[in-house]
Amino acid sequence: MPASDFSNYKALAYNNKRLLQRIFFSLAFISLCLNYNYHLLLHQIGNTPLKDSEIDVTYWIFKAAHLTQFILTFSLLFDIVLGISCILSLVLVNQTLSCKIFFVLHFCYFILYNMLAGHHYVNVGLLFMSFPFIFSSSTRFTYCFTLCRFAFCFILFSAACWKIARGDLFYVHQFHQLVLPKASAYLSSSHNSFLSEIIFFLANHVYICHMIWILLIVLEFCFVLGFFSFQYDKLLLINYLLFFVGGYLAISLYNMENLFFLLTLLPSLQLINHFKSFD
Amino acid sequence: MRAFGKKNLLLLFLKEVRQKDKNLFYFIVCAFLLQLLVTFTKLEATPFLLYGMYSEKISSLSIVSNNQLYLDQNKIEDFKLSERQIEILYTNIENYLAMKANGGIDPFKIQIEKKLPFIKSAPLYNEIAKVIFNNAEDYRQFPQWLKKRCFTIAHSKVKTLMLVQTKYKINLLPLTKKTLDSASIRF
Repeated sequence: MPASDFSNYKALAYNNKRLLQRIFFSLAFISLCLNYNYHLLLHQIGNTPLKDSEIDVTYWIFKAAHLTQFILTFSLLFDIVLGISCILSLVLVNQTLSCKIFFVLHFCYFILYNMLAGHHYVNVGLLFMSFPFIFSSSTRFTYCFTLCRFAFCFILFSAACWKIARGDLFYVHQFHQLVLPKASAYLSSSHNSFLSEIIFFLANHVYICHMIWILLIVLEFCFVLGFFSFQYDKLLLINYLLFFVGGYLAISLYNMENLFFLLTLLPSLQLINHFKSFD
Repeated sequence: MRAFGKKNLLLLFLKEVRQKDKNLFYFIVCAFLLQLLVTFTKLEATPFLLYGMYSEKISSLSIVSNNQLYLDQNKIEDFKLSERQIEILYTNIENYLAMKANGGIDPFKIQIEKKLPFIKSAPLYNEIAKVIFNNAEDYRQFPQWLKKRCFTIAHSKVKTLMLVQTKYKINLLPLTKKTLDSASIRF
């Protein structure tokens, strides 16, 4: 029954707020460290003159208000404060000020990173998931945490709807055309690996590519189940991991930040509840 | 309808939030309406995004374009940079080339003026457009910036920076590629 499932889910989120905060900000800190390692923090990316604002009002506001230039002038300080707010949120779980600072700064980082990277990536997992932690009230936290779960389901489900609405489900060449650039890059290099063999196999077999494409759309579409019940959350968790690994291997789809959404699925909460004694 | 409401988790959630936290409920409704608005107008206002990635049909020409950056005679990939760092360089170069193809005008400026032609006559549009889109000055500065950037991240005292653009035709079974066209740009 959805009503009793919902009560159970709420209780798990409500009772584990502090532990969830520790886990979330630990993972966020690891993500920041990885970004530092790959030279992806604002002070490392480089202030390109061509800032990509596309047709997005938020980016226009950032540029028109000269926020972009202001933050980039103090980019090193910005990155340090972002890191410190993350650590404080991880250590001091009884306050929310650092969580609020992290949320605002990470939102700015998200915008500026996309602007400087020259493409608007939709890796919103970390951004969305930091939102519930800005509330000190456990009740409001629980509702916002549940809201993130619905947002996650919506993102995947709507991605499937876009593909279906644009007729991609029966378009044989779509995934094959996405695989070809990677195959071409492997052809140019002398580097041979198991992955390159898989890519060559896919590039040579258009219909197998199409079957994988259909499978990926079905995996995304399954997230509609998340609006009806928690009982499919295990399936959704496996679905997303398959989607993530398949997308990364075949077309270098890199959306590690979206893995944060997995925290909102019921099996993750149940697992975290088991570790509660360590908190 | 009532039975559907009882079975639907989302409706159950909304109903409870409306009872227990009115402010949050209004926030959720506003966010939901904004998301609907951007979805139907196909415009974005982060964090209200369209999730239509990879849904636009790609024509099956089996032609692949490849950009290769060379610092002197060495490929940029030889300089121990992270995959993402290299990706950012290439994406910025592609944006520069798209501007070059438009005579130094931001392609998104052209796109929005085409979509909303009345916007050009709106007061202050030219002043705002200069700030929100990349302008001619940004375009002119890019090659110099790219040179500096590549030399900095490669930690190398290289003299020349060159981009080689190659178009390949991919043949299947067995997988081979044939060069169709190649051009180079010196920065």
